[in-house]
Amino acid sequence: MKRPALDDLARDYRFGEEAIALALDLTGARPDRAAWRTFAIRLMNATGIAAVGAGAIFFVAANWQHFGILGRLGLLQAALLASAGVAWWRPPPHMIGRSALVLALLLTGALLALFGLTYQTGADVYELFLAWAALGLPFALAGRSGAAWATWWIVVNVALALFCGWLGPGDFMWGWLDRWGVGKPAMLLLPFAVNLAGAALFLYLAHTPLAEHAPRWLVRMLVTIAFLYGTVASITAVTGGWWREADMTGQNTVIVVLFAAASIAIAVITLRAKRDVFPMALIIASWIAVSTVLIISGLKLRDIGGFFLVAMWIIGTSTGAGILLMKWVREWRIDDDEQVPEAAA
Amino acid sequence: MIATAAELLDELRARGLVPDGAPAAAVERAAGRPWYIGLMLGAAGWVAGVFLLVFVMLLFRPDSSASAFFIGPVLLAAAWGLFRVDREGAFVSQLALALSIAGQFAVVFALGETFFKSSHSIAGLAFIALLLQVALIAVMPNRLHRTMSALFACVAWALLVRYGVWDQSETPYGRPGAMAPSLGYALLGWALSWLPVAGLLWLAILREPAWMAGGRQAIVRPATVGLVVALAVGTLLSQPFESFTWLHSSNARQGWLAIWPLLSALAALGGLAAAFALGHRGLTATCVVAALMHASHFYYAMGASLLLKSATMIVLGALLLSAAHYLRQRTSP
Repeated sequence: MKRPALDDLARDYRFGEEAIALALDLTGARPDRAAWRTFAIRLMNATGIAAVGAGAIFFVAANWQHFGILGRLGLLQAALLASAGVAWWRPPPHMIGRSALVLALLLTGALLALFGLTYQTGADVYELFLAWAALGLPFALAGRSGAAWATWWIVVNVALALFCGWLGPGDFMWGWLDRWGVGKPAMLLLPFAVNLAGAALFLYLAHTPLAEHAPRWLVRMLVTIAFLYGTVASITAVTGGWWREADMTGQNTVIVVLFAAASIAIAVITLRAKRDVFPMALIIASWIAVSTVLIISGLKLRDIGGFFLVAMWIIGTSTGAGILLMKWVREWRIDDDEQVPEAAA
Repeated sequence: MIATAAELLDELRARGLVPDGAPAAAVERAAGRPWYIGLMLGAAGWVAGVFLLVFVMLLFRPDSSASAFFIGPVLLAAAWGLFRVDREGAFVSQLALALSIAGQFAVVFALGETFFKSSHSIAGLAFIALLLQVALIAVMPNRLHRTMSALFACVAWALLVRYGVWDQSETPYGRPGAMAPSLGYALLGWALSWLPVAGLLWLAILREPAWMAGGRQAIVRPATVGLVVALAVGTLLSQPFESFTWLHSSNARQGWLAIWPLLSALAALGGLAAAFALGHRGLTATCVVAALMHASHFYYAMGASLLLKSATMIVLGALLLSAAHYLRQRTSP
């Protein structure tokens, strides 16, 4: 039983303190000693791996001159080999194997960075992250866990963000894209499409024997990142973009239409499946943001009425969204605000 | 494990903890609002509140604290009334939330103008905001509002400590050549900001049966959510300017403030444990993301060399992995 239900019961039946304490234990709402122990092990394991991985990356960034090039490379290679060895010794789905592969994935990036730092390859930073993603893919595949894939996708997204967000006119790729007349907002549709494709793939995997690779939170994470990019692309498009001064009206219209088409397609699939309200919340929030910016951009907020209109628009649309989303939550019997303690860890 | 209200009532009756005469109606609650819908509505309400505030300010042109002091409570009273009318939070609660946000800004402006106009004290404004938010947790009959008020109360407390202790313009600390804080001072500053929040949360979890029995679930339950979020992400706001590389970077120097992001990451993990104790999935995700954010901030925090940070992280990681291994060995049959 969930806490909101226990809250109502305790209030309606005027439970005493002893009855509530017992109710929390009997219904599993309060984690017992065993659940706390499992939670602590998983937490320390995950934070330990993250801390060691981050420490390795910090070590490379520190560029310690008192330690020779070969020494630094050897140290990281030894750590990478040790991680792979541990994963070999206790392969996934064992927790030790999974953790070791996440660490190996992180160490791959550190090793690549050290290589680039030492030999001055001249590669852009986004190329480092793309290479990291490519070389780390076997570890993510072998990891058979949401954590390994989430780490891998974060690396991919950093590469995409660097490529789409920080690419300037001086870069070779930008020159190539510029020849084709591709604007900045259109570029942002690339990470939108990649993350959406990733979400679709993992949603499919969740219904196959490979389900352990694809927990629901990973799918949600990818859809959220996709919609962040899509929303920023659309907002940039409706406000006229910031990068190119040339007339991009036609291309910007296409971007908004494409994002709208993708939103409609996802909405139709979600409404038919009736499994999760989360994508609908994302779609609605995205379009409230895009439409609000469109109104602000159109009104220029020159007078008092503009502020009132924007406030009323946000209040009206978010109220409607809240009512609609809660209607689906009730009709589809979604209850994912809380969960049993074991699953939370 | 008991899964239904009817089963639970039967069990409690059998143990004599619920009177036999109590009705045995099956209490099945409607699905609660998922965290992501609450997040969306809260963010929308806040943005709408800012626009509404500008509209009200332009309409009434309150050029004195007296007129702002009149407008603020009127907006808050209107919000309270709308929340009372719409107890389910379906139709006008977003309008009420926006009115309340606008009203809060107006009240803080009015009181700030009255008491701290000459000193321009941010700490003073934070203190007013803290008192206002604590009052609103008790008064506003809306779950989302109470959560937001608890979060903003913690943020106000953090800003009060920060601008009261670290970032005062009159202190010599920010000037080049001043002494960097010692380890004890850095630890004390962080503890002063966040240990009270952690302590409150710990107390709320520990005393859960007591406040539920007292019928205070409607207030304390959403407030605990706000405390967890504050512990996870609010810690960044208490960070003095000194440790950010993009601000006052020329003044940045070696100092123990560099460990604040690590302490904040630990606070986020504490929030994660609290979320686990309270059974909130959305909150656990928030805490994990916040912990990663603080770890990234540690990379950029000035005050210690990357080599020292690297060694700290590796030693910390090794200790955590060893502890996990030890605990696993102890519990395995």
